[in-house]
Amino acid sequence: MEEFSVKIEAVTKRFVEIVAVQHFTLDVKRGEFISLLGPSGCGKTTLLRIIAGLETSDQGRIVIEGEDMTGQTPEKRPVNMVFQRYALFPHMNVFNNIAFSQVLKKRPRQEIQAKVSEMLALVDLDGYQNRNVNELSGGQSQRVALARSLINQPKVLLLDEPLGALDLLIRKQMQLELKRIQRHLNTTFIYVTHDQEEAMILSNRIVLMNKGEIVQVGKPEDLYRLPETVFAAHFIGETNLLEGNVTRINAKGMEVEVGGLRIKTRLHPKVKVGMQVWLSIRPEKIDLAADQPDDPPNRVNHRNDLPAIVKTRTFLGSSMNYEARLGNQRLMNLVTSAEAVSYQPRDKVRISWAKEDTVVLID
Amino acid sequence: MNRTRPTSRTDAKLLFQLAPSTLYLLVFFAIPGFVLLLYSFWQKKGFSIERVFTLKNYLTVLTTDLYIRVTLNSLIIGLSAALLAVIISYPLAYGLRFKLRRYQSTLLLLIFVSVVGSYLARIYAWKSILGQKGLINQILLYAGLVQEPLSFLLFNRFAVIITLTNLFVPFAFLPIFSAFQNLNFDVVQAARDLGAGPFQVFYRITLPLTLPGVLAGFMYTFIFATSDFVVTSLMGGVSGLMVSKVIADQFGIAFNWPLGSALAFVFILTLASGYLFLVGLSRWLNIRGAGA
Ligand SMILES: Nc1ncnc2c1ncn2[C@@H]1O[C@H](COP(=O)(O)OP(=O)(O)O)[C@@H](O)[C@H]1O
Ligand SMILES: [Mg+2]
Repeated sequence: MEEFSVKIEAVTKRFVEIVAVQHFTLDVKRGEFISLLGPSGCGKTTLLRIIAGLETSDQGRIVIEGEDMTGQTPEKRPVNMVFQRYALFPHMNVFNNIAFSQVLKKRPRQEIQAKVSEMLALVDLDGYQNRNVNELSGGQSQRVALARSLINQPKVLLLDEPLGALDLLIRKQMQLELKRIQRHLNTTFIYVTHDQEEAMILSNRIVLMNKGEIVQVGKPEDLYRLPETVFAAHFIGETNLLEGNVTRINAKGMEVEVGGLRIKTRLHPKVKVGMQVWLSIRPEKIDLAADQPDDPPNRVNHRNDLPAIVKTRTFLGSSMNYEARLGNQRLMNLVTSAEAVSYQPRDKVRISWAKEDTVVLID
Repeated sequence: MNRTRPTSRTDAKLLFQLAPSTLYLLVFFAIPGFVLLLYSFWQKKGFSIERVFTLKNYLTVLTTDLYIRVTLNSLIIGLSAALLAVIISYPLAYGLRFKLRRYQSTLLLLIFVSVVGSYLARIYAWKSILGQKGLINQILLYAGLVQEPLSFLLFNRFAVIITLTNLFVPFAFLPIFSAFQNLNFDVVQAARDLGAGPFQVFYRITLPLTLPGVLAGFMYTFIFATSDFVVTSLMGGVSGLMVSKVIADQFGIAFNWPLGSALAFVFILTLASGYLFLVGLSRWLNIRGAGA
C-alpha cells in the first residue's frame, strides 16, 4: 500500500499576472492532520481547490492514494471538501444535504437512512434530519457540511477555513470536535487556516506558506521552537526580533552584535561571520531578576544577562507580561508567572535567557 | 406599557412611509376599478347608461363565441410569449453567470436601453421586419427561396407572439438573471465535489435554485403580454385578435362601457386564477424540493 495519501508535485498556478501557487511540493501521510497555514491571499484555497479538482493547475501533478489525479474531474476524485461558508444546498433539508452523495450513487434507501443517522450521531446532530438548513446556526451548518462530506468516506478531507465564520467560543468547541472526528475515522485531513493557534492545536504537521510558496514544514512545536526565517518566527507565536551582525562563531554557538550589545546564540548552518541576521527570543524564555549593583551578576557562560528598565507591566490572570528596555533602547517583551516576584515600571532589572533560546534567522 | 410604545411609534412611522404608495394604489387602481365594477352591472341603452343592477353583460360575455375565443386567444398568445421569453432568457442568464461574466454589464445596459427605449418604435420595427417588403421577405427573395413575398408573416397570431416576446423579454430575463446572481457558486461546486456530474448539478442544484426566478419572469411576461392591446391592434389580424383589443373597442368605438367592464372583469378573474395556479405550483415545487 502507498505510504502517502496525497503527493503534490511541483504544482504551479497563475491567475493572469498573479502567481497564486508557486512550484509547490508536499507529501501528506495517510491519516495525517496537516494544516496549510499562511496569511490571506497566500494561495491556500487555490491549492486546496487544485487537490479537489475544482481548479486546474498550470504545472505539476496531484497523486492521490498512488493514482495520478491531475486533470481528473472533481466528482471522480476520492476527496471531499468542506467550504468556509458551508455551501449547504439551500433547497434541501438536513437529511437530503447529508444524503446527497449517496443518492447520486443510487444506494438503497435503507442504507442511506442508516448512514445518515450514523453521520448525524458523529457530528452530534441527532434528531436534526428534518430541519431546514436556513434554520441552523453557523456551528450546526458546519457540522452538516462535515457530515455531508464524511458520509462519502473520502480518502482525504479538505477543509477550507471551516471555522473561520464562527464565534470564538463555538470555534474552540468545534476544534476539539474536529480533532476527535479525525482521530476516530483516521481520515487524512488537509486543513486550511490563517490562524496559527488553530493550526497548532489541530495539526500533526503545519505547512507554513507565504506568497504561494512553502516557507517551512514541521510539527507545531518544531515550527515554534526553531523557525528558520523571520516570517516563520513572526507568524507563529509572539517573539522578540533583534537585528545584528555575526561577530564570532565557534563549535558551540555564535556571538551577534546588536546595537552595541553582544548576544550569544545557537548555531545556524548557513551563517558566516560578518553576515547580517535576525535573532528571535520567545517572551516566555526570558527571566527577570532584580538588579543588585553591589552583587556582581552571576554571569553564566551559556546565558545572556543584560541590564534593563521595566517600562510596562500587564496582568493577564495566569501570567504577567512586561515590556523592558534594554541598554540599547530596544524594547523586549517577556512573560513571567503571575506568582513570581513582580516589578514596577522604572524598576532597574536584569533580563536573561539561554544561548539555546536565541534562534538565528535569515531572511 | 413601556415596551409597546416604541413599537406603536414604529407602526405609525411605517404607516406614514406607506401612505404615498397606498394613496397611489387607491387613486389609480382601487377607485377606477370600483367604478368599472359598478359599470359592469349597469346597462347600455342607446347612447346613455341605465343605472339598474343587471347580470346581462356577464351573460353576454360568457355566451358569446367571439368573447370566449378572444379571451382564449389572449391566454394562448400570452402563454406562448412568456414561454418563449423564458426559453430565450434562461440560457442567456446561465451563460452570463457561468461563462461570460465580463459581458454582464454591457448586456444589462443593452436591456435597460431596450426597456426605456420606445415601445412603439420596436413594434414598428417588427412590423417592417415581418412585412411584405420587410427584412425576412427581402432575404428570402434574394436567396431565391420564394418567388413572391410571403404575406402570412404579418397580421396573425405568430406576428403578435414574436413581437410581444421581443417587447417583454427583459421582464423575463431580469428575475432569471437575478436568480442566477444569487446562486452561490460554492454550492454548485460542492455538488460537483460530492460526485454530481455537470448534468446532475444542473437538474438537482442549478434548476431548482433558479426556478423561482423562472416562475416570476414567466408571470411578468405573461401578464404584460396578455394585457397588451397595441400589438394586437397593429399587427394582429384575425387570428391574432386579443381580448384587450375587444375591450378597448367597447370603451371606444362601441361606447358600451358596461359590456367592456364585464369583459375586463371576466378576463381579470381568468388571469388571477392563472396567477394563483402558478403561485401554488411554485409552492408545491419548493416543498417538494425541500422535503424528504
Ligand atoms: N479565480 C481567481 N482569479 C484571479 N485571481 C485569483 C482567483 N482565485 C484566487 N486568486 C488570487 O490568487 C491568490 C491566492 O488566493 P487564495 O488561494 O484564495 O488565497 P488564500 O486562500 O490563501 O487566502 C490571491 O492573490 C487571489 O487574489
Ligand atoms: Mg482562502
